[in-house]
Order: sequence, then C-alpha cells, then structure tokens
Amino acid sequence: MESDPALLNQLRRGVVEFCVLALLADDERYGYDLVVALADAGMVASQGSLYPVLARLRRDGLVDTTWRESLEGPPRRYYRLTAAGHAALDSFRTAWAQFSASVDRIVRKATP
Amino acid sequence: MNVTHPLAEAWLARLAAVSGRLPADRAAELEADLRDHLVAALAGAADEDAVRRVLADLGEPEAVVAEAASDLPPARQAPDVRREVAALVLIVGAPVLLFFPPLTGLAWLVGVVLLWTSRVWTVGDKLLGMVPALTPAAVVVLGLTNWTAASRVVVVEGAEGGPQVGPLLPESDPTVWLGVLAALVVASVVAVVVLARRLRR
Repeated sequence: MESDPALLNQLRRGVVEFCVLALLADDERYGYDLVVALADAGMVASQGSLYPVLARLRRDGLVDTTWRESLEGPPRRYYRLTAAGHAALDSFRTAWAQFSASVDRIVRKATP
Repeated sequence: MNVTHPLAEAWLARLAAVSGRLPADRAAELEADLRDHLVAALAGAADEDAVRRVLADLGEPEAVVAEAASDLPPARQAPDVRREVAALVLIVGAPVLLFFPPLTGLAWLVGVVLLWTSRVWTVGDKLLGMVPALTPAAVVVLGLTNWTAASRVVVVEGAEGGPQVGPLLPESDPTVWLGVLAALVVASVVAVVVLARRLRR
C-alpha cells in the first residue's frame, strides 16, 4: 500500500532536522550531497525544501558551514555539527529511542 | 556564478518571484543555496530531459518558500487606516466648508467622532487631534471678541453702561491675540502631520 503523502509530511516534520544532524555526526558534508542523501532516503518531499531546513539549523547554531574550493567548479558549502548540534543530536537519540519504542508497542498491539 | 541552463534560470526566477514574503536576507540566502544546488546538479546533466529531472527532484519554488516561511510569524496585516484618514480630512476640511454652515458642523462632528473611535491612535493622539479640531472655533471666538472690542472702543466711546463684550485678551495689543492665533494654527498643522505619520508603519 502506498503511504499517504500528507501523512508522511506530518511525520517528517520535526524529524528531518535531526536526520540532518545525524548525517553530519561523523563528518562534514557538502550541502548538495546532504540534500540528495536525505531526499533519496525519503525524508523530504522535494530536495528544494531541505535548504530552508539547513538555513534554520545554521541560524540556530546547530551546524556550521565552511566554503571549500572544488576541482569541478565554484567553491562548495560544507556543513558540520557544532557542539550545540552534537548535544541536540544526543538528546534526540535518547528521546527517539523511547518514542519509537512506545509507538511500536502501541501500533503493533492495535493491529491484529 | 551562473547556472548554465535557461530552464534552471527560469526556476530561479520563479523562486525570486514567490520569495517576496520572506525577509530579504533569508530570500537572498535561499536563492544562493538553490543556485549552488543547480550548479552542482546540472554539472552532470547532459540534455534537456536531464535538466527537467533535476528540476522535478528539486520541487516547486512555492514549496521551498513555504518551508522557509514555516517558522515566520504570520504576515502582519497593515492596519486599516481609512477611518483615521477620513477623520483628518473631515477635521481639516470642515472650516473650508464654512460658507455652508450646516455641512461644516456635520463634517466637524463626524470627523471628531471618527477621531475618538479610532483604534490606531492612542488617547494622547486623540487629544492632540482636538487641537486642529478646536482651532477654527478658537479663531472665530478670539477674532470676533477682539474685533468687536476694538470697534466698540470707537463706536461706543463715551457711552455709559450697555452690554460690554470684553475681549478675551488685552485689546491694547492685537499682536498678542494674533500671535496666539498663529501659534494655534501652527500647532494644528503639526498635530495633523504627527497624526498622519502615526498611520504609516
């Protein structure tokens, strides 16, 4: 069964930000690669709508960007986690583990 | 840095057209991010079909702007100031209709009611609004009493008793009451300008 796009959008809300943080947990990444990876994983409806999310994370000080020269063209913007970003990711991981376990328990029990 | 394809430029133009409701710095940042994305994505796009696929993956500019605006407070609507503009026009305009007194009185009354029922102006503003509202009456009263007094000095000189219309200000020096009138008129102009400026925000 196809999942309902409106429902998916609602579920993504509030989670996408932390998926960005999680992708940056170990290493910095080029913004474009980050967007493509998240879109391929089905975490956003369209690639474009991720840029406002990245901008929000920058404004909130959870990620930091640096410009790096590239061989193929103009300089590229790379994203990496700040200390605040690491802390936010840690607390999300804890919360998510409890939350998803609870939802699983309830939803599975309710479906025969 | 230029995006290489006209379709991509058209997409960015649509983005610019719908991002007007974002603060300027956010709109500029968004445009730069998406231009950067298109440069990277189009580097491997060989033909027009590939460009269209890149744009389809990117989504609609409206969706991007909607996401960017999602944490902004809802657009503040400019307050409706028609009532206030009408009040000022009526108060300032009432004396102009002086040659047709019933209209003058009506215009003045409606103007003052609109002034006091405004939700834009504060009580202080409304008191200020009474300066231009009362100045024409002050002009008439001061003018009449002083003029009458001045002429009475000539006409009834030597006559005993009789009703005396006293000047509100010393008749001996017309520059005093003329000065008061001039000050009132200047204060009225200033008050109207201040009230009108309160409406622009």
